[in-house]
Amino acid sequence: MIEDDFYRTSSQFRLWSFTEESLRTVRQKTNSLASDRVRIALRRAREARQSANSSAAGTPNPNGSDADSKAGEEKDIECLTSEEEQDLVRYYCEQIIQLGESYKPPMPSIVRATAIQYLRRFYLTNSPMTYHPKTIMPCALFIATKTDNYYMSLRQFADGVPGDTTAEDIIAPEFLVMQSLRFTFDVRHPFRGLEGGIMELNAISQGLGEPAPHLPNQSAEDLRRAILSLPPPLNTPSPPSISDRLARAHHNTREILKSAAQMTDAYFLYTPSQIWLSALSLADAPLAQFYLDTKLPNPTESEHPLAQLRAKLLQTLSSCATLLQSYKPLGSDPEQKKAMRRIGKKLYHCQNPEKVNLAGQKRIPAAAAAAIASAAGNPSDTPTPDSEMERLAKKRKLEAEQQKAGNDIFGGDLVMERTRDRQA
Amino acid sequence: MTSRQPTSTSSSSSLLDIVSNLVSPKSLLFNAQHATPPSLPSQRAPTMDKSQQPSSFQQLEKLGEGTYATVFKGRNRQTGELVALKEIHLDSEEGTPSTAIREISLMKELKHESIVSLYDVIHTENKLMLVFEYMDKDLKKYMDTRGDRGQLDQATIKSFMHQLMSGIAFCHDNRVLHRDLKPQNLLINKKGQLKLGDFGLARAFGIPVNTFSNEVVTLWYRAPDVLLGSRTYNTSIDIWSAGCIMAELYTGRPLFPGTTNEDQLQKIFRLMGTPSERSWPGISQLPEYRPNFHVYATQDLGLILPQIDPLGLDLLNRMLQLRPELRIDAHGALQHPWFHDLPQLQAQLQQQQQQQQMAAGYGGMMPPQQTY
Repeated sequence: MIEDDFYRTSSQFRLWSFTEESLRTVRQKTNSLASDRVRIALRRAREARQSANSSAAGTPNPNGSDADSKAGEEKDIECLTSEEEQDLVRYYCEQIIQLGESYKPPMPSIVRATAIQYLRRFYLTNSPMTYHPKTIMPCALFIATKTDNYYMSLRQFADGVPGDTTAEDIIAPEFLVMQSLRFTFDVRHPFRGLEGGIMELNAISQGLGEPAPHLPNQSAEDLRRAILSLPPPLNTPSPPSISDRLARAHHNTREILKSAAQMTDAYFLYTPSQIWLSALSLADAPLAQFYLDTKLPNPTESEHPLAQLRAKLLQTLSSCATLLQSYKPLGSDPEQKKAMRRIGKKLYHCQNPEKVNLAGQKRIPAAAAAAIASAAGNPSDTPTPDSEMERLAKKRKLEAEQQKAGNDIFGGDLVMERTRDRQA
Repeated sequence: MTSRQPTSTSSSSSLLDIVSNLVSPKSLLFNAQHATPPSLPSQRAPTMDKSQQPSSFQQLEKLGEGTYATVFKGRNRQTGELVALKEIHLDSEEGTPSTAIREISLMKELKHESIVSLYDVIHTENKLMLVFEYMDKDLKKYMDTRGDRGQLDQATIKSFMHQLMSGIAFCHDNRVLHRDLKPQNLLINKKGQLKLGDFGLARAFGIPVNTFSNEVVTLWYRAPDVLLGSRTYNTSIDIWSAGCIMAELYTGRPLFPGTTNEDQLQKIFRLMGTPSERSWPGISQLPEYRPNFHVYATQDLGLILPQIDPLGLDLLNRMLQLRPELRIDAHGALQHPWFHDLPQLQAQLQQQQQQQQMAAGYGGMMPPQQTY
């Protein structure tokens, strides 16, 4: 078996790989399902309040003091679009990087990258309108510490999470997250492939290279000379030595893998090796071309059957590189920051009130999942948590009523305020 | 379907299947689903079954208790299929234990006929339940009940070793170290299949493989490099364990039953010879190395394993190399000439089993546990 065959057996390939089209479809479906539920839930909440008000006041009072707020509510509820949801999720992915950085010592990049992919996978079938990313994000990171062998006690982890988030808040959605991840925790990252590639390039530069499969007569010295005579990467001063050049390419590629590769749909659309090769081509194009030359014949100068494969690969790599280049960090982009504030405000009005107390209620996902499972069956490989949770809406609404003064959950302030507003 | 006979009708064909399936894993599932009567459960059915629910498993007797889980025998109420239900104790302090998460994670990736299948993960109240393929016994119990004072016959040993090595090879191809191979973690079913189970301690490895804890692998099956404190161990640690298991299949007794780290090393050196900087360059740099180790000469393993044939002894010696980099790898072991006559041996074994079954009466009437 070749490496690709192993990748094709992985859960990442089987369950978490998409075409652009299928990815869009999944997200659209999640968004429209969640939007419908938000509208229903908000209407239900409004009706419940109205009947409570009217019975409290004795007589209906449509023109009373609450007319203004009511008029506001009667407007059609504007839900997040799928694009807005993605922007929001990306914002919380950036928060994972920050949160991981804030620990002492900082969490390894790999743990953070795993958590980011968990969050991105979670929000393929769940909407931020249903489960706010600020409650899911720390849980995703905590699960990643477990999968990636980065042991940290829950208490220690919770201490690092800003705000008054309790340990219990963090693990409250754990089962929900695990289920949404379809119990596949293994994420194939492009980092390992990059390390291997750089090791190979270093070996070549030291005259220890292996001949390319299509050029069996190539000597290690031929390869060494070729790597030394590469043109410098675009727009950068010529590095003083090949080892400096490799170190710089290594570092810059890693930075792309830690940022753009995490924040875009790269993992959903491309394989780990495609991702690191694209990132390497952005960091040092001639070096990336040279590396490919050691594996596959160049289509411009060869009739070899593998040359076709190379041509196809180049196309894939260049579209992946374009995707990676499209990423702009939020912090450096005032436009995006403005947009994010707007989305945040919008979410405040379209957060599903029946799901708000996720972390406030003890172990809700556990209880919920169990209840659903015993009621209707709940195989792990076909979870649609958004819809499953919907079935509990009635029960949850009741519980939410009891809890409305509620614990101030991690970042739950916005929604809590709204609940209080309504009570007032 | 009160007393299900999982294999009586299919075991006759299955042993041969195993051999051919080593080449093409998928065909095992295919054959199991199509070539046998409906009473044989299809391997993947529980995951596909949308109406699955926790209560649809009847919990039967307890099979074992681990550090983070209790294992029960269970029965799928709908299909009658036996399963193993691994109940994870949820730690309210830490949520789902990381061992459970890692085991689930690996089992979701490792789909192979020599690795026990994870069908489903179910959550109830405050418990997490993993639904595994049912296996009748672990290898230790199997040897205790089946073997002649624990010793197994040649054909069974060879068949088990081939399945063990192909399971290990698959793990290693997928960059997973099992790290805890021992007879208790190898599971046997009535078809004579051996599968790797209990991946609680397993972990994925990458480049470089270092800074692992050296507190893994049960002492008796622990490789000398690990015992000497090496933290850059690799796939070769699983091969050492497999070598120890192979010897145990012949004798019925653990090869190196050490009591402490030092005692374990001494038992190994007494048989395999005490290594030196000359035989193992760099050994003196390992944390647990002592210059005053008692010096033993290398013994002939054949003397304590009189039943083993020369080819088997050759393979065993390649697996039990003290220096990790000299140990044969899993694929190399599978290619070893010792395995060349496996198909013929398995045909014989199959015949024997058929005769035993005939003697025991029609399979459908027997309580399942007494087939062995």
